[in-house]
Amino acid sequence: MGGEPRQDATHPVRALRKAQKLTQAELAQEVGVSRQTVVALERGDYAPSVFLALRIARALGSTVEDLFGSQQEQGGRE
Amino acid sequence: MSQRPGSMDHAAERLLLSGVEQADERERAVSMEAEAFGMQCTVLACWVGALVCAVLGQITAAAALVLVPVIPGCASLWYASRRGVNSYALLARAPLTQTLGRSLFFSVLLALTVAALVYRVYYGVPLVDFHLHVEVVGEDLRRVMALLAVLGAAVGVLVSMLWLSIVVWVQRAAERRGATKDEDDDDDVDWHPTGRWRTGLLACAVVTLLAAQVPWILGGRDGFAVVVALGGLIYAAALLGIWWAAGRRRARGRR
Repeated sequence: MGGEPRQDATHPVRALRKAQKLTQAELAQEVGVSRQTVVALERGDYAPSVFLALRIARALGSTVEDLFGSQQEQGGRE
Repeated sequence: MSQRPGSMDHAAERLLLSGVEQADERERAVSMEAEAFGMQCTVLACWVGALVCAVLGQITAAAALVLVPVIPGCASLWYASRRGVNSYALLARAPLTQTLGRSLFFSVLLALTVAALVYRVYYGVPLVDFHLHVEVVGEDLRRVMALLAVLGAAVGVLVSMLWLSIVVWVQRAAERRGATKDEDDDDDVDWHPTGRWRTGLLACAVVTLLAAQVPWILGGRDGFAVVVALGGLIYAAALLGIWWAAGRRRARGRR
């Protein structure tokens, strides 16, 4: 949550969401979270649970590894 | 979980989750952290308050304030153990200096409280002699004060219900706006108080500060007037602190 170092590069979730022309609100509604959670996630401030990560990956037509693999290497908060 | 959930677990879950049923996982985690933080602040405030009461010779209040934090402590130990988490094992895993430092702080606080209480019982006088003497002269004045107290409580209930309704209405409107937003907004992950909230806080601080000085200004130089004036000053200072911190957070959010 707060206090974690932010990623300088664009988060894969954000990049893929933009590529699919989805807004944060639309993605949030699709995966069943608040828009603030999508914001926190794209800023790298929040590492989602495996269930949420799966839902996001499914919504964006990608894999958890592609979306959050780099976060794990950076030691993101579990 | 270490065992099948029973009625106690369901009751505990209901108590724990009141207000966060609709939250997503991040909001729930932050909410739980906030609750834990609030609980820690309460425990600390209780024990510091117990020391102050003990120094002033208030034996019952000091004993009550020492014992009250035992309830959340035992409740959290019980809750964790029902879900297969050993709180003592977590404590043992933490850095030893941190664990010992924390224990030492609370032990010293407790020892000082007990010492002040022992002094009060042994010598019959408190360490600091402080008497709060409130005298209401006249039956009519007493009736008026009782009536005002009842009316004040009733108005307080109404105002708090109204305030809660406004908060719910404003939040729902904000969520509706957020859900229909066509563009991204990366800055609203944190709660940035609006200017109106801050103005309200400032107004509350000023009104409280002024109202608390009234008994003192009207000629009362007794303990009651001083306590009310000091209490108002502390409360107003706390509100001003929140107002200032909210301003800083808002400015950071805009950057």
